[in-house]
Amino acid sequence: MVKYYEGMFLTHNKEARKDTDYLAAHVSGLIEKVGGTVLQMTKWDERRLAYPVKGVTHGVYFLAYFSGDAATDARLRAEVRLSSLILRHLTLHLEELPEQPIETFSEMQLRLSGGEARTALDIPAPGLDEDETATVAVPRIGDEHAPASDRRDGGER
Amino acid sequence: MRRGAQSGRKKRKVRRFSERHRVRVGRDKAEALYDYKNVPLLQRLTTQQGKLYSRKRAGNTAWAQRRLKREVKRARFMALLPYVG
Repeated sequence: MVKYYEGMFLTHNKEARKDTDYLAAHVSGLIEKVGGTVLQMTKWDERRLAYPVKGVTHGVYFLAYFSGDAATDARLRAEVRLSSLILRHLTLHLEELPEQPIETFSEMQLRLSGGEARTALDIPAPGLDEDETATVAVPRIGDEHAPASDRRDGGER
Repeated sequence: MRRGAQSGRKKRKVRRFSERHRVRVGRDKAEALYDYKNVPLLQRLTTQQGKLYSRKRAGNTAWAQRRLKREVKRARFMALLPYVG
Protein backbone atom coordinates (compact mmCIF):
# COMPACT_ATOMS: atom_id res chain seq x y z
CA MET A 1 0.00 0.00 0.00
CA VAL A 2 1.29 3.40 -0.92
CA LYS A 3 1.79 5.80 1.92
CA TYR A 4 2.37 9.50 1.69
CA TYR A 5 4.93 11.26 3.81
CA GLU A 6 5.97 14.78 4.54
CA GLY A 7 9.63 15.13 5.32
CA MET A 8 11.52 18.11 6.60
CA PHE A 9 15.29 18.06 6.49
CA LEU A 10 17.59 20.43 8.29
CA THR A 11 20.87 20.77 6.47
CA HIS A 12 24.16 22.42 7.05
CA ASN A 13 24.16 26.10 6.16
CA LYS A 14 27.74 26.21 4.98
CA GLU A 15 27.17 23.38 2.58
CA ALA A 16 24.02 25.06 1.32
CA ARG A 17 25.88 28.26 0.65
CA LYS A 18 28.21 26.37 -1.59
CA ASP A 19 25.58 24.55 -3.56
CA THR A 20 21.88 24.37 -2.70
CA ASP A 21 21.04 22.23 -5.68
CA TYR A 22 23.51 19.63 -4.59
CA LEU A 23 21.89 19.44 -1.16
CA ALA A 24 18.42 19.14 -2.66
CA ALA A 25 19.69 16.38 -4.91
CA HIS A 26 21.30 14.71 -1.91
CA VAL A 27 18.03 14.71 0.04
CA SER A 28 15.92 13.46 -2.83
CA GLY A 29 18.61 10.94 -3.64
CA LEU A 30 18.32 9.50 -0.14
CA ILE A 31 14.54 9.23 -0.48
CA GLU A 32 14.87 7.49 -3.81
CA LYS A 33 17.51 5.19 -2.41
CA VAL A 34 15.17 3.84 0.27
CA GLY A 35 12.44 3.12 -2.22
CA GLY A 36 10.47 6.34 -1.96
CA THR A 37 9.26 8.57 -4.76
CA VAL A 38 9.70 12.31 -4.37
CA LEU A 39 6.46 13.98 -5.40
CA GLN A 40 7.25 17.57 -4.50
CA MET A 41 10.22 19.24 -2.97
CA THR A 42 11.26 22.75 -2.09
CA LYS A 43 13.84 24.71 -0.20
CA TRP A 44 11.56 25.66 2.66
CA ASP A 45 13.55 28.30 4.47
CA GLU A 46 16.96 29.44 5.52
CA ARG A 47 17.14 30.65 9.09
CA ARG A 48 19.00 30.94 12.33
CA LEU A 49 18.30 27.90 14.49
CA ALA A 50 16.57 28.29 17.84
CA TYR A 51 19.48 26.42 19.40
CA PRO A 52 22.73 25.06 17.96
CA VAL A 53 22.48 21.60 16.47
CA LYS A 54 25.81 19.78 16.32
CA GLY A 55 27.52 23.15 16.69
CA VAL A 56 25.69 24.68 13.75
CA THR A 57 23.74 27.88 14.30
CA HIS A 58 22.28 28.54 10.85
CA GLY A 59 20.54 25.99 8.70
CA VAL A 60 18.64 25.43 5.50
CA TYR A 61 15.40 23.49 5.57
CA PHE A 62 14.11 21.33 2.78
CA LEU A 63 10.52 20.18 2.70
CA ALA A 64 9.39 17.22 0.62
CA TYR A 65 6.27 15.23 -0.04
CA PHE A 66 7.11 11.70 -0.97
CA SER A 67 5.43 8.34 -1.24
CA GLY A 68 6.60 4.91 -0.30
CA ASP A 69 5.64 1.82 1.60
CA ALA A 70 5.36 1.33 5.33
CA ALA A 71 9.06 0.65 5.80
CA THR A 72 10.28 3.66 3.83
CA ASP A 73 10.37 5.87 6.89
CA ALA A 74 12.48 3.47 8.92
CA ARG A 75 14.93 2.94 6.08
CA LEU A 76 15.16 6.67 5.48
CA ARG A 77 15.94 7.26 9.13
CA ALA A 78 18.85 4.85 8.92
CA GLU A 79 20.19 6.55 5.80
CA VAL A 80 19.86 10.06 7.20
CA ARG A 81 21.82 9.09 10.27
CA LEU A 82 24.77 8.26 8.06
CA SER A 83 24.58 11.52 6.18
CA SER A 84 26.79 14.28 7.49
CA LEU A 85 24.95 16.95 5.53
CA ILE A 86 21.58 16.42 7.20
CA LEU A 87 21.52 17.54 10.83
CA ARG A 88 17.91 16.70 11.67
CA HIS A 89 14.90 15.36 9.91
CA LEU A 90 11.25 14.87 10.70
CA THR A 91 8.98 12.55 8.76
CA LEU A 92 5.22 12.68 9.14
CA HIS A 93 2.76 10.24 7.69
CA LEU A 94 0.06 12.03 5.72
CA GLU A 95 -3.42 10.57 5.51
CA GLU A 96 -3.73 11.99 2.04
CA LEU A 97 -1.61 14.10 -0.22
CA PRO A 98 -2.33 17.83 0.24
CA GLU A 99 -4.21 19.34 -2.68
CA GLN A 100 -2.26 22.55 -2.73
CA PRO A 101 1.29 22.44 -4.01
CA ILE A 102 4.17 22.46 -1.58
CA GLU A 103 4.97 25.93 -0.30
CA THR A 104 7.93 27.61 1.25
CA PHE A 105 7.82 29.35 4.60
CA SER A 106 7.27 32.79 3.08
CA GLU A 107 4.57 31.50 0.75
CA MET A 108 2.80 29.91 3.69
CA GLN A 109 2.90 33.13 5.68
CA LEU A 110 1.61 35.06 2.70
CA ARG A 111 -1.34 32.68 2.37
CA LEU A 112 -2.14 32.83 6.08
CA SER A 113 -1.83 36.58 6.34
CA GLY A 114 -4.89 37.14 4.15
CA GLY A 115 -8.52 36.16 4.58
CA GLU A 116 -10.04 34.27 7.45
CA ALA A 117 -6.80 33.24 9.04
CA ARG A 118 -6.05 36.80 10.00
CA THR A 119 -8.33 36.77 13.05
CA ALA A 120 -6.98 33.55 14.45
CA LEU A 121 -3.42 34.72 13.96
CA ASP A 122 -4.29 37.64 16.19
CA ILE A 123 -5.42 35.46 19.08
CA PRO A 124 -2.88 36.52 21.68
CA ALA A 125 -3.12 40.20 21.04
CA PRO A 126 -0.26 42.39 22.22
CA GLY A 127 -0.99 44.02 25.52
CA LEU A 128 -2.11 40.81 27.19
CA ASP A 129 1.13 40.56 29.10
CA GLU A 130 -0.12 42.72 31.94
CA ASP A 131 -3.22 40.60 32.20
CA GLU A 132 -1.26 37.44 32.56
CA THR A 133 0.79 38.77 35.46
CA ALA A 134 -2.39 39.99 37.09
CA THR A 135 -3.96 36.55 36.82
CA VAL A 136 -0.91 34.97 38.35
CA ALA A 137 -0.75 37.49 41.14
CA VAL A 138 -4.38 36.90 42.09
CA PRO A 139 -4.74 33.18 42.59
CA ARG A 140 -8.51 33.22 42.83
CA ILE A 141 -9.24 32.38 39.22
CA GLY A 142 -12.50 30.71 40.12
CA ASP A 143 -13.65 33.89 41.78
CA GLU A 144 -16.40 35.63 39.92
CA HIS A 145 -14.66 38.91 40.49
CA ALA A 146 -12.11 40.09 38.04
CA PRO A 147 -8.40 40.18 38.78
CA ALA A 148 -6.90 43.53 39.60
CA SER A 149 -6.87 44.68 36.00
CA ASP A 150 -10.03 44.03 34.08
CA ARG A 151 -9.48 42.31 30.79
CA ARG A 152 -12.00 44.52 29.10
CA ASP A 153 -9.72 47.42 29.79
CA GLY A 154 -6.59 45.47 29.01
CA GLY A 155 -6.16 46.91 25.56
CA GLU A 156 -6.93 43.66 23.86
CA ARG A 157 -8.81 45.27 21.04
CA MET B 1 -16.87 34.59 60.44
CA ARG B 2 -15.29 37.99 60.24
CA ARG B 3 -16.94 40.66 62.23
CA GLY B 4 -17.65 44.01 60.73
CA ALA B 5 -16.88 42.90 57.23
CA GLN B 6 -20.06 44.45 55.93
CA SER B 7 -20.23 47.69 57.81
CA GLY B 8 -16.71 48.55 58.89
CA ARG B 9 -15.03 48.48 55.50
CA LYS B 10 -15.64 50.37 52.35
CA LYS B 11 -17.05 48.04 49.74
CA ARG B 12 -14.50 47.17 47.11
CA LYS B 13 -15.33 48.08 43.58
CA VAL B 14 -15.86 44.84 41.71
CA ARG B 15 -15.99 44.14 38.06
CA ARG B 16 -17.48 41.09 36.51
CA PHE B 17 -14.98 38.88 34.76
CA SER B 18 -15.93 38.39 31.16
CA GLU B 19 -14.47 36.22 28.47
CA ARG B 20 -17.18 36.85 25.98
CA HIS B 21 -15.03 38.72 23.52
CA ARG B 22 -12.29 36.12 23.50
CA VAL B 23 -11.62 34.16 20.35
CA ARG B 24 -12.15 30.46 20.80
CA VAL B 25 -9.89 28.16 18.85
CA GLY B 26 -11.65 24.92 18.15
CA ARG B 27 -11.00 21.95 15.98
CA ASP B 28 -11.41 23.65 12.62
CA LYS B 29 -9.07 26.53 13.27
CA ALA B 30 -6.55 24.33 15.00
CA GLU B 31 -6.46 21.92 12.10
CA ALA B 32 -6.00 24.73 9.64
CA LEU B 33 -3.44 26.76 11.54
CA TYR B 34 -1.59 24.69 14.10
CA ASP B 35 1.34 23.34 12.21
CA TYR B 36 4.95 23.02 13.25
CA LYS B 37 5.86 24.99 10.14
CA ASN B 38 3.72 27.95 11.20
CA VAL B 39 6.44 29.28 13.45
CA PRO B 40 5.24 32.88 13.99
CA LEU B 41 1.88 31.65 15.26
CA LEU B 42 3.50 29.14 17.60
CA GLN B 43 5.74 31.89 18.90
CA ARG B 44 2.72 34.00 19.73
CA LEU B 45 1.24 31.14 21.69
CA THR B 46 4.37 30.58 23.75
CA THR B 47 6.22 32.72 26.26
CA GLN B 48 9.59 34.28 25.63
CA GLN B 49 11.05 31.22 27.29
CA GLY B 50 9.23 28.93 24.91
CA LYS B 51 6.60 27.66 27.32
CA LEU B 52 3.05 27.21 26.13
CA TYR B 53 0.42 29.66 27.22
CA SER B 54 -2.50 28.32 29.20
CA ARG B 55 -5.63 27.20 27.43
CA LYS B 56 -7.50 30.04 29.03
CA ARG B 57 -5.12 32.61 27.72
CA ALA B 58 -4.71 31.13 24.26
CA GLY B 59 -8.46 30.52 23.95
CA ASN B 60 -7.96 26.92 22.97
CA THR B 61 -10.39 24.09 23.43
CA ALA B 62 -8.87 21.00 25.03
CA TRP B 63 -8.53 19.36 21.64
CA ALA B 64 -6.84 22.41 20.13
CA GLN B 65 -4.44 22.71 23.05
CA ARG B 66 -3.33 19.10 22.64
CA ARG B 67 -2.81 19.68 18.95
CA LEU B 68 -0.83 22.81 19.69
CA LYS B 69 1.32 20.95 22.19
CA ARG B 70 2.16 18.35 19.58
CA GLU B 71 3.09 20.92 16.96
CA VAL B 72 5.24 22.93 19.36
CA LYS B 73 7.16 19.79 20.23
CA ARG B 74 7.74 19.07 16.57
CA ALA B 75 8.93 22.62 15.98
CA ARG B 76 11.29 22.34 18.93
CA PHE B 77 12.82 19.20 17.57
CA MET B 78 13.48 20.87 14.24
CA ALA B 79 15.15 23.81 16.05
CA LEU B 80 12.42 26.19 14.91
CA LEU B 81 11.46 26.93 18.51
CA PRO B 82 13.63 26.84 21.60
CA TYR B 83 13.34 24.18 24.28
CA VAL B 84 14.40 26.80 26.81
CA GLY B 85 14.57 30.51 26.23
